[in-house]
Amino acid sequence: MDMVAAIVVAGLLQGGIYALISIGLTLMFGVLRVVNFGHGDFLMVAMYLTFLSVKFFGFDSLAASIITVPLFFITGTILYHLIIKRTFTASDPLLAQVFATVGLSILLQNLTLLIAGADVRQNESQIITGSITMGDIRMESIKILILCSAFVLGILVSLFLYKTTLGKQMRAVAQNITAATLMGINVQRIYGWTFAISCAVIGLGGTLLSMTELSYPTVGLKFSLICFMTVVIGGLGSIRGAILGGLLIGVVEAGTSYLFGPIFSQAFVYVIFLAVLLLRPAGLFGQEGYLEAKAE
Amino acid sequence: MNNLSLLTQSKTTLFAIVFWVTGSLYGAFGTNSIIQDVLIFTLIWTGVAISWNLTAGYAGRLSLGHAAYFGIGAYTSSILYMKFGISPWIGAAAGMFIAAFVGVLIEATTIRLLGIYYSLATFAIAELLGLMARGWTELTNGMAGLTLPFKASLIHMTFTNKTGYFFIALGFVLLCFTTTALIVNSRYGFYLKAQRDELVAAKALGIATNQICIVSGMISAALTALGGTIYAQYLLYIDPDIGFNWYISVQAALLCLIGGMGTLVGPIIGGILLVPLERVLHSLLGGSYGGLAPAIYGGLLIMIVLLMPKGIASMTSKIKTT
Repeated sequence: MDMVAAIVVAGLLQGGIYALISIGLTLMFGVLRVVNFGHGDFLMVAMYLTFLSVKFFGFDSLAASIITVPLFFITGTILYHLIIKRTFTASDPLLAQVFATVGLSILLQNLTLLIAGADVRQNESQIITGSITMGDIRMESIKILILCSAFVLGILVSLFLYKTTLGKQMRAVAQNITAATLMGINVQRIYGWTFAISCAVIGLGGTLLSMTELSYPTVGLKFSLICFMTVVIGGLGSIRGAILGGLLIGVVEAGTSYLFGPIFSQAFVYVIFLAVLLLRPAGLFGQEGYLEAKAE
Repeated sequence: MNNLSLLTQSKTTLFAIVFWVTGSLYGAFGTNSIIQDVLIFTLIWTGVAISWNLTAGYAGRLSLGHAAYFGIGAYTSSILYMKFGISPWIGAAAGMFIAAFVGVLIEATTIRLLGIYYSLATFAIAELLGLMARGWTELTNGMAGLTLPFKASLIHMTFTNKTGYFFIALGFVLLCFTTTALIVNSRYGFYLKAQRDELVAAKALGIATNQICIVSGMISAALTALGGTIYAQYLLYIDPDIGFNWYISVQAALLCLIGGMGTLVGPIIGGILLVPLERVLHSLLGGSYGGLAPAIYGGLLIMIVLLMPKGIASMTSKIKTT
């Protein structure tokens, strides 16, 4: 029984990480269907940026988010206007988005390799350290912080999407782009904002991530894949889905990893992902028919 | 028919032909092994790109998982050779057969998925197979990989110099090209393009769109697997990171994007332009500036997608018609 509890807790904490880093992708891919294969590499850059600011300013790692979040917001805006905006007018927008962002991913990975080298790094916070022990279960404080941040961020983003004008406009664009345009919504502007906000969320996620996961230039692909799976399993366009999906993947991974070993657990997550994609394309917590309406 | 006129008239095709005639002469009689090495890589990637083009370019199904078939081909022949001493030629056929079978399975199960969902599914399947190659150590030797023994003879598809590999790779490209050209210019080619451009209309006209897509996926998978076998024989080594690397899928797509997707000459032009460039950048900058060559490559990819979204082949054909 204790073992089961320990595995579930470990899974939830790992799942919190997945949930946190998937929120940015939910906004971009889930809400607006902009495909970004550079998502994981953005996270990787945010992780490296955290090391850099710690090194230069002597901040605590947590405080580095003061730098990463605004910087990512600005970079997101620039990238949107330089790259993403142009893919909409291509003859095949999906193809253009996939391969422009794959190009971006290769570029970011190798620039990081060139500048920072291939060393594996990990950050540590001076404020949040150690772990909390409850009974036999040990929980790292930083992972608890990440889990809490995922929930808080999820609530904030949901409030933003449902309560503010900009958020409502975003959902309107996601649901019916023609009708949204006819209602006088500047679609390009909305896309730009969404991309920038989602990049800012990635910046925060990357800073927190750098304190619990190892970072190296090619780590991004792993995170991209995990995030796409989280978003699809949870249900496209659903913030709640992304968080629950992340937690589910974490628990499943921890459980199967304990029972059958780490390679099998990764494979099992892929199988769940494929099964959800084939059997319930709207995702576990997404609205039925949402995808079909969009795909048409 | 448009393809045929493009094939005989356009300047890019002429360029491709000149490149390959001189390249073939050099590959056959030359002695500089570095140039031969570049030619062999160009041929292998061109062949894989032509195979990818069949499903992605003509059938409109944007696969990001062709590494799966490449890895299956590389591993099947290598395992049969290492464990049972079966000639890689038979291993190549076995790999093509298994890849075709897996291809049918994948296409049949994902046939309902459109657009990015199909891409994500194929991506995940390729990663899944890569994990299998890592985990099933009795069969694949896991991350340590399989080192093939060096026994130079035609039967073992192993040669002391690069000329033999060159001819095999050339044969591979010719096979891919002929197969694609035959399909594309047949009735089925028009069915494929029809369902790619107007799925509903094609269905209404009575085209069995699902079957057509599955068969094209199967042929593409088999050809890609052959490329994998040749690659493994050329390197005499295979591990999960080589066989099931996600960049194999990206590379195939990239060559088609540059040359022009859904055109016969597209992947060939892409191969001629990109693979030598990649090798040269790699050898010039590889040592002291690790990462710079692929960074340039990534930047190039973004530029091409944004500035030349239909590739070079389609640009020349557009100039011709207007």
